[in-house]
Amino acid sequence: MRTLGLILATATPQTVWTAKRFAVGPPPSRFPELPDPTTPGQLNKALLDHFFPGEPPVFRDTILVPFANCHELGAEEISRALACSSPSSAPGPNMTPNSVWKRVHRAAPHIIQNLLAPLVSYGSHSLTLKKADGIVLDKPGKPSYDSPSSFRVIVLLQTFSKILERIMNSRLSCVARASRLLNPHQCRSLAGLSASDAITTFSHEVRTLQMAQSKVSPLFLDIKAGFDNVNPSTLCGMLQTKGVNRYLVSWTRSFLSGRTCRLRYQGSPRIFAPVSVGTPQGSPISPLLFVIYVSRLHSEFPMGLTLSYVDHFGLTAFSTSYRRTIQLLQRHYAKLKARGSRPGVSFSIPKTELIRWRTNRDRGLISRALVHLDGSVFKPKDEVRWLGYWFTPSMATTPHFTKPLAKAQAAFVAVKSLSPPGMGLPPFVCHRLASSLLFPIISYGADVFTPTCHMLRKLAAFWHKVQR
Amino acid sequence: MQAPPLSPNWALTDWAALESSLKATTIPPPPPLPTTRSLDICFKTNLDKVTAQFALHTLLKKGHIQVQALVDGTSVTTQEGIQLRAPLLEQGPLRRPPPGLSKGRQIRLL
Repeated sequence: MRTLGLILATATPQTVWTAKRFAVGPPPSRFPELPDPTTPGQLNKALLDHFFPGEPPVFRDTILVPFANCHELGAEEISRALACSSPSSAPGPNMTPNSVWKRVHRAAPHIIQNLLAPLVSYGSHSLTLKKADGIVLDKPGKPSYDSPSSFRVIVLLQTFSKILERIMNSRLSCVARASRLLNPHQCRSLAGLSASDAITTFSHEVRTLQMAQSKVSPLFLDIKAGFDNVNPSTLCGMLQTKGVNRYLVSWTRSFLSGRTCRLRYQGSPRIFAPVSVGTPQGSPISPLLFVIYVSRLHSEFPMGLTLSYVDHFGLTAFSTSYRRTIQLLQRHYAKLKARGSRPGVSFSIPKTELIRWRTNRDRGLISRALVHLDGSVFKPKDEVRWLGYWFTPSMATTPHFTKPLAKAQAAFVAVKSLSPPGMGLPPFVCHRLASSLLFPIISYGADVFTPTCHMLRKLAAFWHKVQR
Repeated sequence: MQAPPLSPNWALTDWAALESSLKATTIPPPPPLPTTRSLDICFKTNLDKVTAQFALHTLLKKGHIQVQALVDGTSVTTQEGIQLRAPLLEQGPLRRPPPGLSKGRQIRLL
């Protein structure tokens, strides 16, 4: 209890999960018990085949020539990359956390610079840096654990590799806009293009269209297994066509090929095996590479708008009637699907959602026309969650704040139970824990949505209760 | 089958000694016109030179060595000089410790 008290005394939103682990204890680890494999090697292979389907790209040993137009890697650039890296992120196979690399760079800046400079100038990502650890975790609440689908994998990349990935990410970001690698309606991966920017643009466009007396219907789509299906050759071809520096193209090709992963679970043989991962999840450069890869899905949409945030797409159609907007959405979806088929991008049908915006004037005139996509029928919903923001047909903000408030109230009860009267955690620790845990929950989205007076009173009443 | 590597305890790093040895470390450039593989070997050698210094000035966490003996099936000597031995698992039928057994109890059973 004393250790827990010490952790909680300095709790922040980032360390609150450590506190939970101390309070509740680690979850029970389950061993993958598949019926067919009989040896650890076979079990490892079965899990690898499930988590990383597809043939890994063939690795070719080629002679490298330094690129003449490559910018020299400076110590300042490395410092900037290290400043963005979290000291608490879990290290991969090299087991060296970012905090150690930060200290090494402060003490001897030439070390990281001299290690990474040849990789940059030759446009190559070392095979050593492409080794990753795959932590196999069980999905809670499954009836049995005799199938690989009852487990999931969290891939831990090397922290040292992430330094180079951050450097290349910032270099590629600089040329992405200038070379028109990204569509102006794509968000994420560049500075100033966050989820709140996407939502602000989206709400603004809808309100503008409604003011012009238009009927507006958005359709929300998700790309199926987006990062896993990035084809390195197609992506590098796109970069080359747009005139990106050759060293960046060469480095990207090298970064996406020749990757190996070592699965870690109880009794695993811990051997590195070649895997096909598309663009690795967890890498700082992956969102940018993915956004570039799907930029060609953004095409001209007459009487509509396509807005995307990484693999989340929002299609908005407007017209004089809801029936017409449905036709426009169906037609544009077919176009989008055709454009995505060549790079191997498809949309997840179960995650598709439809909503129909309406103004006060439209009350009672709601059309119930359905959207037909790929043989599935979608009804308009009363509430839709997109990028963590809740939307209703009337664009009311109350549901967006009501749901987080309910979550925060439940968490508050749990925090209170840690400190019954006269025992448990000291009050100041409880207060700090409540503030760091609950405030991020109830304030999410407050930068875009304004709560109503009634909602604001409810939020204030809850927060006063927490403060007491 | 490989044993899990021991985890370093970064809170016990002798930073003064490590920093002075890092300052004196030189990183040689790769050979001219390298291949992908030779560039990787050169990079790995240089990186190992740096990480070896981390290992030299950092103590390892306790506890991991016991797990290593269990999974690997080889004989391991702990920092306290205790020799641990576990049955070989290599390519044999799947074996795992009984559920609910603590690491300490597993060692005592061996």
